[in-house]
Amino acid sequence: MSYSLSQPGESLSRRILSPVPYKERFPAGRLKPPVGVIPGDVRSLPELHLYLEPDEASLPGIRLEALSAWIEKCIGDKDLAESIRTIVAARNNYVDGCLKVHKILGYRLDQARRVMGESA
Amino acid sequence: MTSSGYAGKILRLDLTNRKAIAIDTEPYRRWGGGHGMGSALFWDFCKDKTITDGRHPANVCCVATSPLCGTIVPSAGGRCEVVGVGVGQYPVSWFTRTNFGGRFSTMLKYAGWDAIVIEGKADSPVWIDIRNGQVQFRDARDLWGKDTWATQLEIRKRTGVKGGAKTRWQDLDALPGTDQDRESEAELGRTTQKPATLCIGPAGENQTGHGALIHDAGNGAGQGGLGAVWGSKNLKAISVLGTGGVKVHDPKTLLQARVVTKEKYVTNWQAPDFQAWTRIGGLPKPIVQAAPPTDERRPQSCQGCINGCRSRYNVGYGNESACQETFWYGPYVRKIAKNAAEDTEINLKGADIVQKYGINSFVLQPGLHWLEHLYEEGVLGPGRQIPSDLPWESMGTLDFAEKIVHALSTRTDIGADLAEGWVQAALKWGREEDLHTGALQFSYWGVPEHGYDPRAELEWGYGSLMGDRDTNTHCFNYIFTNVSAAFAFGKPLRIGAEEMVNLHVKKMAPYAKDRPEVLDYSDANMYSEAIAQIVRWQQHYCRFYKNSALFCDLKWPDFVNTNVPNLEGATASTDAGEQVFWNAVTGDNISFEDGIEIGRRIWNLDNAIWTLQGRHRDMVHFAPYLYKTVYKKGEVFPFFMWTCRDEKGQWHYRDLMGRSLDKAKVDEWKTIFYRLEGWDTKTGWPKRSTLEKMEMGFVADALERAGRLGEEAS
Amino acid sequence: MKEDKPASSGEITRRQFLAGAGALGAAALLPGHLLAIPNSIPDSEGFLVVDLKKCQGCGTCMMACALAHSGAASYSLSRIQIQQDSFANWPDDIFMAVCRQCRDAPCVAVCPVRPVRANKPNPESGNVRMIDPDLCIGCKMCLARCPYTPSRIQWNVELQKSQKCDLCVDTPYLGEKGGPGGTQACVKVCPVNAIRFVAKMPDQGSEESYFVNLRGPAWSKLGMTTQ
Repeated sequence: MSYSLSQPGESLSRRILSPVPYKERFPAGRLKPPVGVIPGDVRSLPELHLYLEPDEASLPGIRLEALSAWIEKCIGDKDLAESIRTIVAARNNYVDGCLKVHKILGYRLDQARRVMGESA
Repeated sequence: MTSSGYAGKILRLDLTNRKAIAIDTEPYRRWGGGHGMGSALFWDFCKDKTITDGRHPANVCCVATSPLCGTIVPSAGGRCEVVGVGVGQYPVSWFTRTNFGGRFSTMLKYAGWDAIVIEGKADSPVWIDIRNGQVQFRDARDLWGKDTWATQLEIRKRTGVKGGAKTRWQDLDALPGTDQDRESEAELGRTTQKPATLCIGPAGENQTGHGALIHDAGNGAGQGGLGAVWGSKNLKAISVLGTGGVKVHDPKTLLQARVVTKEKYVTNWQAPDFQAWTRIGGLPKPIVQAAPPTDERRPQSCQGCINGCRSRYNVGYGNESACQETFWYGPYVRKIAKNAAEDTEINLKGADIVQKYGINSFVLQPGLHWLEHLYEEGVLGPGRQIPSDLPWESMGTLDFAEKIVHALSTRTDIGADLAEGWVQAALKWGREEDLHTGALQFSYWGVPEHGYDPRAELEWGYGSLMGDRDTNTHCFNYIFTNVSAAFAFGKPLRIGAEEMVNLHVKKMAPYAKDRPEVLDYSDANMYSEAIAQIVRWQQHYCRFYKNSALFCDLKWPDFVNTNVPNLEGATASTDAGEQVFWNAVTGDNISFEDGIEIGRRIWNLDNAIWTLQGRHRDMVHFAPYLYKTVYKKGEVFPFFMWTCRDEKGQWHYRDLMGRSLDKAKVDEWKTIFYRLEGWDTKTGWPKRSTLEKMEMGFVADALERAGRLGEEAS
Repeated sequence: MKEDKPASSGEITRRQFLAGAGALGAAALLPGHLLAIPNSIPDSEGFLVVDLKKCQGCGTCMMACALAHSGAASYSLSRIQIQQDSFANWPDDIFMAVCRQCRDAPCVAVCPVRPVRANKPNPESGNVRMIDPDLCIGCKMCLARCPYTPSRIQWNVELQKSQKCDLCVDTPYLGEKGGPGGTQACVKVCPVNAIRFVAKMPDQGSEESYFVNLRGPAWSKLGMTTQ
């Protein structure tokens, strides 16, 4: 699937692939029955991408509505933030939103990795 | 009362004098088995019930089976209960309980024992070698220091039982170490099985509050620090080989009920309903908290389970581990894992680490979150206010996992303070504020919040508060998981809120029968008498059916079951209900409700023990953060759905996030609870009138002598 | 497979017969009067086959077997044995030992009880090889003679007699008719259907012929291999 995200520059690509300081972490729990709801956080987009990867036994727990603001403020990727804002607003349900965000994140990470010469 | 289902004997281990004494089970028959029997044995054999640290030599630890162990009662026969005064709780380590699965309870029954009572302290490390009626104390000095797997493998070698699955029959008489000079000339019998061993690893040997008991590769009795109790007694392991059997009162009915369970209540794995709403009726899928590492695996289960919740793989790690121990490290692994496969591998190897060290990984679930917070705040680390030389910058790696578990297990680095309890460590480190802000989410009695916040899931929080530990009883909590998952996926709800509550309360005699309000968790109802009734019902049900009869918490009770056309689950049913199985095995003729009453009796005995330990209602409080902060919406999950009634009396699934608990109202609610239980509302102590009605006048006498009997007038 | 005992003069062991017949043809090997050897006992009309990769190790079959036969659940008295090693990896962590209802069952041949063997096929129940507890003298020769590991014969310490799988012919506590054409407790209770009753005799020349693949697409949907 293609998105209307132009290739990021090197500086932005580096930020896309790097963690933010602990103070800027984004809360991200997980529902894993029967253990329950486990607190956590994400500090980078690669981590967020892995976090949102679907599995049969659990559900991620994040405030999708707050994700764009975090990406814009802490990562500095306005374009990605806007795309996610649109996706979240149009989502059919929470899981649909998570899956679509996961996909676009993957796309953006690939873009950034190509710029930085990294393998996926 | 018949003796069917029971082995007939209880083994008392006097570790101080290295003596094994057999006593009759009969006087303890009325307590059922498991926890009830364990509490009654503790009552009789613990000479100082005021102790509040399980490492005190007067502590008595009981390992107890039930009549259902070693039989085919579905998802019941494989569990085993352990009780005793715990270690590491705050402000008091209560008389507490823990439970594990696998093969141990079956083998103990087949060896001819219903329970083991562990008393005193050995002068040097020992392990107990049980071969049917033969019980020997063996030197464990060269086992001390070994991890739990190495210990079990070494004990297997010492009993002469061969490794590998496929082995010959072994005559117990021919095994090394069998007492050839024993009194009885009767043959001990033969077996193809391996010894079932329960043991401690370094965490228990070093008497840390998170010391657990481990059996086989992945069965753990984690809560309560009972591993530390064994460590304090110099008890390294108990190994059992049993060649006998369990006589069942009505084998035909038992077999029939088992088959009915499989055919009616459990989804057919060949054409399954993957989204079934049921507890007993699910699939043999491991509840591993990471994606399975391979499809080259089998389901694996405790003895008698109807759908296993673990797995064994061909990859060489993660075998038999499931549930929390496969995800204690998850949020950190994700920070460094390159992909899902690596995420799984580190998580499952992390499970192996905690199994081998014999540590309760639950402390790490909110605990590691808190330690990371301290590190990132600059408070904890090399040369800092809380000194620690652990490689915090490498959190998420296997190396860090091993190092932190090692530190916790060996009382080194921050493990030295954490060994005495996490809340105790927080106070020592000047971090009391973390209990107020929620940075340290140890919600009740100095133990970790489970994953079902007390501000939302009321019966879980209150049940833990009014008891001795994280209640860890999933009787109702799939209402949250199933409904919240359905909302998350935008799927139609299989069972509406009103029908859900009615399906439950139909079976919740006597306190909640046909009282749907007990499942109304709305703000308006959260401190009500109805909520007190569901908490009572749950604690009484669990004290008998789950902790004593040993029905597995993962599968029972089964209130609702979408595999059945009328949605009514197996619990209390006339064809495969808990009481059907109990009666078929034991020959008793109890109703389902009779079992609740037995549970109430056991719960009262436990409260009597806590009272002797010094319990008073003034100590019964949640951690401050539950009153001072709200359960923030979206920070751990977008919603926490539960059945609620609106002002018009209509039922809905509502989101319970965004609220806190009101301390004063919780305190008022406690009064309601005590009144309903027949306890003195001023103190929370049992009253004589309540105890005597349950034929527990002897308990009232002991409380009176101690000056801690509840007043009748309150 | 255990080595056959050395043959006395004029006799041929079964192993030698099979080896010779395969390599050279029976006529070249055998004395004439042994050329046509009839099956000494009729074949069983039922067998249990198992899937070693599927079993969840719950032991329910063992407990149900003992329960159905004796009214008491037990491992040692179970006529099917599930063995497991918690510290081994799949698929070597579990072994399922079922009686093979052998064609020329050595356990029958070796039973010394006369005039009627204690261990023999039961013509009223599909020629299932059964031990009659009233006739068994507890010599343990069948137990020792079973060529498989573990022996598929069990020793009842209390009764001082041998016992074996009878495909649930004699199961007073089962509540249903057993034997070929009837119910086998282990098959019925297995939560994952890792045991199957078949009427066709598996190849008697290999141990593996009783180990079959009972998984399939549904098993694969549960995330486990069907290989």
